[in-house]
Amino acid sequence: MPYNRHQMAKTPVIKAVNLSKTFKLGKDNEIVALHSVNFEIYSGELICFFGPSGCGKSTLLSMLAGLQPPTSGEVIVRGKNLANYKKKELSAYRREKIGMVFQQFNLILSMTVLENIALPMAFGGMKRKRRMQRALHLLEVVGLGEKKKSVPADLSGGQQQKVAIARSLINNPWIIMADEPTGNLDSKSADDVIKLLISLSRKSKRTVILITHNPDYLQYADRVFRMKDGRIDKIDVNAKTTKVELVDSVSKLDKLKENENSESEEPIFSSEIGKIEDEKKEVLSEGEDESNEIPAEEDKEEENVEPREALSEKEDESKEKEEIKQ
Amino acid sequence: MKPFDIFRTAAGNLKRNRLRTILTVSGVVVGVGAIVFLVSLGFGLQKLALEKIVSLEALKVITVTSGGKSETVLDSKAVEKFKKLDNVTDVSPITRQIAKFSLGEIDSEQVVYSVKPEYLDMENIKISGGRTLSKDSKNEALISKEILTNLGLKQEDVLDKEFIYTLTGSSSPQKDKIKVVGIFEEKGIYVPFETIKNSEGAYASVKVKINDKANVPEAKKAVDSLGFNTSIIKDQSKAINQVFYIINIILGGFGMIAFFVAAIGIFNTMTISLLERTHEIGVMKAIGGNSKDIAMIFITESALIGLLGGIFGLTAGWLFGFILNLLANFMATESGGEAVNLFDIPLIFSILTVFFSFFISSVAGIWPAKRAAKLNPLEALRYE
Repeated sequence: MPYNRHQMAKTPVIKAVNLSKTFKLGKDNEIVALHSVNFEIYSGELICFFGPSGCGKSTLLSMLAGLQPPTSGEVIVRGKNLANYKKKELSAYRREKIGMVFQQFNLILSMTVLENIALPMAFGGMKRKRRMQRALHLLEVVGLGEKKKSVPADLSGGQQQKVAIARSLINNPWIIMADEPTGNLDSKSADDVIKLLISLSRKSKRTVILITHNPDYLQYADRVFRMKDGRIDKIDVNAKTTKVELVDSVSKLDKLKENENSESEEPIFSSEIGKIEDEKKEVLSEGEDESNEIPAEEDKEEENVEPREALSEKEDESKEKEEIKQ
Repeated sequence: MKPFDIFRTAAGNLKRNRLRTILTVSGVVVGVGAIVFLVSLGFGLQKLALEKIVSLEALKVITVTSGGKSETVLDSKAVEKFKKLDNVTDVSPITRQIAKFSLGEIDSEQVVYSVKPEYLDMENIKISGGRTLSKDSKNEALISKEILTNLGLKQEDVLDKEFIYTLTGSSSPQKDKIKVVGIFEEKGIYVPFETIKNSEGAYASVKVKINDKANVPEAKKAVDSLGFNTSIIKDQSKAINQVFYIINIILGGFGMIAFFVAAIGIFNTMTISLLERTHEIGVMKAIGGNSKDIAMIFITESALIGLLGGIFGLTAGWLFGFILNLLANFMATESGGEAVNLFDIPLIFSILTVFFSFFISSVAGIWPAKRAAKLNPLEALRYE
């Protein structure tokens, strides 16, 4: 009973408050893409935004992703208003807190599959060896381990989209945002991709936001936000979501984290597990004060940063040792 | 992004458009090569001019002649006086006489200078065959090329041959044998000071060598004050350097035109690259790329073009000069001339040229880089 479960939680992962977007085309021609939208999304939910093209769902998603600012209203992600983020922080938010999956895959054609997956980590300043290792794990998770040396042009659409999903997971984000991820795929590939996204939600407890105009997928979502003319028309709650055969390899994602946690050398993602644990607590902690929740989260974020820095120092040291040996 | 990752990404982008990169770098190679070639020609000619026209040793020498009065006769007493002056390192008297030389059927009257071996150094006399006079030389002579040419003789006709000479100008003709040991470039015949002495005891002139160029004017005044006539070679090096300074600027300016065109080429390449990669930049921004990193990738690309162009341009300019110099020297030595270095590239100039190319190219990349950084991620994503 997913919805009931989330109803109990106090802090939504994403909260939209009176979110509006108006585009000005010429002097007196204003198009309102989004009319004062309000909603809350909770940790671990699989949400579908469903509606005809032009209903504002992509605009909505781009604002949740911090790709454009709202005309009015607020996007609050884990208690923080995106409008307060500086440019650099917004980049870090897109890089580390969310994972984007696009309809056109948007892989960089001149880079190999592994380099594509690792790119957000490269922007984060992670060492190449480390990020390539992680990228390879993720490629295995999405079931394309044998394609590590390929370039995107060698892959089918479905395979490219799986690579894009792997890329969205590289920094172990809170939230996966997928904008029509199956729009350019044949039905078999589309099924694979959707299964992968559902598995990420069910097996790995990530918040997944799926934008689609394919009604077939609605049965899998915890909640469906039906959109029309820039408004959320109706919210369907699936008391019982349709079960699908989940992608087993996704559980490797958690195993991967556990492994990294157990090996003291590689604590990089351990903090992320802490985060997921926190999310579970949030879900279960009925009646707890919100004020207690938020500072706890801030503490966690600090923890998030420290092990990474410690790690990079450690890596520097070990590299220096290697160089001395040579 | 780590600097090395920025470098790797930039290098990858350059590799992706290999032909365009090669063409753009070639433009820079031509520009830098032109600068290096022209300016090194300027430097080479400057060095050559300074070497040929003013020997540094010659600038330290004061030539003293008699003052025309009885107390200013140039004799051994005068030489002693000069030796006592400040900063004087050497004093070398010269006598000048006319002598008749005979070798086989050839008879010829020539001017003979009796000199000390150090005089030859002071005057920068260059020996082109045989050897120079030494301290122990007696009855040996150096003969100029000009005399050989006038008499229609070759080097091997006179070297190590004995002449009979007769001093004609004096009241008691001295006649003796003398052996030619070396050939030199200038005029006249040089013999050791002790071999032919002036019967009148006066010297034609005295060369006074000063320890440093800077002390020459002072020493000249001191000799003047003794009543002798003095002359020094005017130091032309300043004027020569000034002329070549201007020549180098003009030559460098021509090279700069070519380089400027190359810089426009870089700018053009980067701008086109920006258009081509707009969508890619959108993707990078959407997945969390910093504007700064994206700008740095662009600037690194243009800087790399400049660096490659600078290094290859330096090599090309040097190589072109080297080959041209070989050709010129080949032709010069064929026609009996001296081999010289027409090109000279000071190390600091080479480094500066490469750095300059690197710097200007980076600057040419700033505007495209800024535009890339400012791209709106959503619009860039929609751009195809």
